[in-house]
Amino acid sequence: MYLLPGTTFTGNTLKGLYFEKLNEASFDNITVDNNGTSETEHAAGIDINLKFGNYSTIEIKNSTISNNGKSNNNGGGILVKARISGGPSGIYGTNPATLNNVSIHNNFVTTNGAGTWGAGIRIGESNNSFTGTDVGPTAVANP
Amino acid sequence: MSTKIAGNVTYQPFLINGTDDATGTPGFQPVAGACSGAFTEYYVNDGSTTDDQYTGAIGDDTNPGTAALPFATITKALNVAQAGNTIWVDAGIYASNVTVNKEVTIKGAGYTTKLTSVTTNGNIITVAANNVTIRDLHLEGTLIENSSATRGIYFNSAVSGIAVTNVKSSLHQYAMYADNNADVNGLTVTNSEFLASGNGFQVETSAKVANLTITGGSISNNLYGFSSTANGAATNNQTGLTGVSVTRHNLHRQYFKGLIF
Repeated sequence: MYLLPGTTFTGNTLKGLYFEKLNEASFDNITVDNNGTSETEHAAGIDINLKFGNYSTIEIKNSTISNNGKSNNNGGGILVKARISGGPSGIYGTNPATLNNVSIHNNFVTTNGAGTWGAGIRIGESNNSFTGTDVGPTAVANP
Repeated sequence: MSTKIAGNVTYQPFLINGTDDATGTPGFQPVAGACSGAFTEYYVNDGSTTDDQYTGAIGDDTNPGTAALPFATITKALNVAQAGNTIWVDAGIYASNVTVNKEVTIKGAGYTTKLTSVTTNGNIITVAANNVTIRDLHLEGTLIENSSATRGIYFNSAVSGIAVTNVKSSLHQYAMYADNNADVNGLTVTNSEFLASGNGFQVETSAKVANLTITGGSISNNLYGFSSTANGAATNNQTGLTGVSVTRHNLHRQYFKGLIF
């Protein structure tokens, strides 16, 4: 279980929080501001980019996600995806990832991302330059 | 003449065993060689008394390690310390790569107590015992053309009940590092700063860190902040990092990523 109450992530150039493996995580009352200031692809506040396994139960609540990923068309505040294809030589497809039970609620999400595909919250692969299959996570709640 | 003392009196050093060969005579007349004693606290000071808080003289390893006559090195204090002891390290600079293999507390005088590495790629404090507390000091690595190779706090064995409090760790490859053979159960990091390093806290691919609590403090101005893997192509990435709680902590201004699991 990962718990990060009251924790602040600010001014990290590529990403505030980045995960390739994550289960049973609760992010409650965190501040993620002004991260992903680089023009690098997918610069973000929170990038949940899961690979090579089955993952579940991720919750982001009561948090402020602001001013992240503003210099890149695929940037954003919260990016959530389970990788099933792509990667170097298509390696993600050798052991496709799944993600189940994601809850994102009661957050203040503002001024994230830039350009055509920039987003405050993006569930699934980015639409820009992605040629693989996007199944996205399942059981996503964003009340 | 002093007044008569009533009640228990604490002596230092106190005897932990011994034989009185004249029990009918007031006082204690030890049988020669029958007694042994030990300090519960040892003191270390460098070659200066500037900013000192705990000691009254410069350090010397031929001293008994008291506040009045402190040791010069933490290594000497660790050699004579016993489980449960506290080693007070006064303000100063100590070139020291120490392995803490006893259940002790190492307490500095704040960031004016600075430990540096003897070598350009050493571990300043290797934690190799349970119930070790490290607090109130600064671990400063060696900056080599923007590529430091030192580690501030290093784990590579099975330990539990470790506390790191008010520690600043800077200019390292890893400010704190759990290497592949580390199996750390119960690591509490409080009000500490890990900064200006390659990684603030790195948990290596095969390492185990369970029940980690980080409260207050910051991880800042590193390439990576708190990372458990940075190998996106691997299929066997870190899975031994469990029970993590980070509260009222700041991860900011990393060159790449703040938190990477």
